[in-house]
Amino acid sequence: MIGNDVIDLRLARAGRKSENFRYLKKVCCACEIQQIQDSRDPELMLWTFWAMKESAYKAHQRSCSLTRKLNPIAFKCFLDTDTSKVKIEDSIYQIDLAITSEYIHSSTGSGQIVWKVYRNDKKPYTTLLRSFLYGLHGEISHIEIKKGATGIPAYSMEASLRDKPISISHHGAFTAFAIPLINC
Amino acid sequence: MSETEIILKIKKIVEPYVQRLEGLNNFREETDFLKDLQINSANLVDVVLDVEDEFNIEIDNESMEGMLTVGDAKQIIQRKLNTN
Repeated sequence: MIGNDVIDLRLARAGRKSENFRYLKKVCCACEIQQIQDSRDPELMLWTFWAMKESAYKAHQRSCSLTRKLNPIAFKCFLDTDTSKVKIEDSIYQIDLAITSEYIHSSTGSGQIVWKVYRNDKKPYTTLLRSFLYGLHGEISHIEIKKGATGIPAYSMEASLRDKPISISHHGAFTAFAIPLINC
Repeated sequence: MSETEIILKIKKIVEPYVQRLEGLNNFREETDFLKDLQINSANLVDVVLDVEDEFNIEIDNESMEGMLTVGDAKQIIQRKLNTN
C-alpha cells in the first residue's frame, strides 16, 4: 500500500485558490477551511491538505481496489505540530510531509517507504524513474510501467518477474516516485 | 439544449486545463479527463466550477465523484438541467 503526491508551489500559488471559497467548499470540509483561513499562509495550507488527501486517496484506492473517484472532501485531514494523518471511512493514513519553498511532498504507506522528488529539467520521465530505481537496484537494463484498469501503476524489471507497486506524481516542474521499502 | 451543444461547451471549458492536446482531436463521450486529456485532479475541480457557471447548475459532491469522462459530465449536466 503506497501513495504519494507532489505539488509545485510556484504553479499552485499562482491560482490563488485559497481565496476562492467555492473551490475550497468542493475540496475541504468546514474544519479544514477554517484552518486554511486561520493560517499565516493559507495557500500553503490548502495545498498541503490537497497533497495529503491525494496521497491517501492513492493508497486507499490501491488497498481497497476501488474504482476512480473525484471525492477529495471525503478525505479528512488532521494536521498540527505532532499529527499528520488522513481519515477516510474507517481507514486512517499516517502522512509524511516534506515541504520546501518550491514543493510539497506527501507520502503514506504501510511500513517504510522510499521516495524522491525530481526536478524535471526537460528530462523524459523514464530517465527520472531509471535514476530513482538505480539508487535502489543498481544498473537496470529494462523498466516497464504498467497501469491497471483503475490506473494504479506498478513497475517491472527484467531481473524480476513480479510487478512491484509504485506511486508516481507529476506537477509543474516536479516528478515524485515512492515505493515500499520491503520491495527493494 | 442538444447533446452536441453540451459536449461542445464541455470541450471549451476543459481546453485551458488540458495537458495532452492530442486528446482534444478525438473529443467524444468516452474521452477521459485524467487519462486522455491529462487534466490534473486539482484542475478537475476547476472544471466542475466552470461547468456550474456555464450551465447555471449546482454539482453536488456525489455527482462530482463520478465526473471522470465527457459522457459522465454530459449526463450530470442533463440531469441537473432537467430538475432546474
